[in-house]
Amino acid sequence: MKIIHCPVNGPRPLQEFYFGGQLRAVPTSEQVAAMTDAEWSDYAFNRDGSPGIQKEWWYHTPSGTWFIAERDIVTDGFVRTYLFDQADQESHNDG
Amino acid sequence: MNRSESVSIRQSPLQFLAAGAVATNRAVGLADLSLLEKWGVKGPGAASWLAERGVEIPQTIYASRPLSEGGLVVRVGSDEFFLEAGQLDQSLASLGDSVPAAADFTPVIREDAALLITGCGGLDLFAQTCGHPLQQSPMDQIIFTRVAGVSCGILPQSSGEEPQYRVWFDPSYAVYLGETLLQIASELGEAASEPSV
Repeated sequence: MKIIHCPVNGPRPLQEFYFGGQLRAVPTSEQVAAMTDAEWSDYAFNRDGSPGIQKEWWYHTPSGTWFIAERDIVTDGFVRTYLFDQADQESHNDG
Repeated sequence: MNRSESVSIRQSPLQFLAAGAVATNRAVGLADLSLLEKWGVKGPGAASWLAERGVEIPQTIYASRPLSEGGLVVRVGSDEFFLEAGQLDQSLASLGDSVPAAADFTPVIREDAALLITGCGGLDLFAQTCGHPLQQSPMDQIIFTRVAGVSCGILPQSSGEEPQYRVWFDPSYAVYLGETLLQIASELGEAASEPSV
């Protein structure tokens, strides 16, 4: 069973989690208004799939906790997890 | 309609448990506690307001404390609390009516389905349905996990030789989860069911 370390609830089985997509900078309404169709399409439909560590949103469903996970998308190993506003604090490493 | 009338017509989503279970050796007991009065209180002033009403505030997140009339309070966040009344407890009945107009917190009636799981087979029941090792969990500290795929809050409590488990979950899953747990409990050595309260 794959275990993910929720920064609030501790180690839990993968089945308790929901993948929320890549952590990406959200453009402001002014930036969206200034985008070309090609730039908007790139933002809406394209994702960075390059191998390595990727920052992602994950959700612990039973407790309603959204958090950030740094995941190696080559090995599918979780490097660290932390709450969004606590990136500079000690975090969990699940390997 | 006053509050007492609204309580009297409420029906438990788990009421089938009382009629559907077979009481034999009580390896696992399932009791429906869905009709106990439940409230959520959330906001910066929630803790001090509850303390003024005589509620002992759990100091750490996920800790619980008994209420004076037999219920319990669980701290589910830094400024968020879950309260459940005891079986004969009316102390929470008027909770929502006593909130000051300019309060910086909000009390909300909770309609969670609630189960009490008792007996020596309780851990075996969870071993088949829950990925979290409840045998390692401290007493009186709520755990948010999944049981048979349903998001639940589980509170292990000391009760004689065997711990008992309080389980709260969304009432829309009550029939599914109740029937699933009853089926497994029956296979573990027959189930016992107490009437709804």
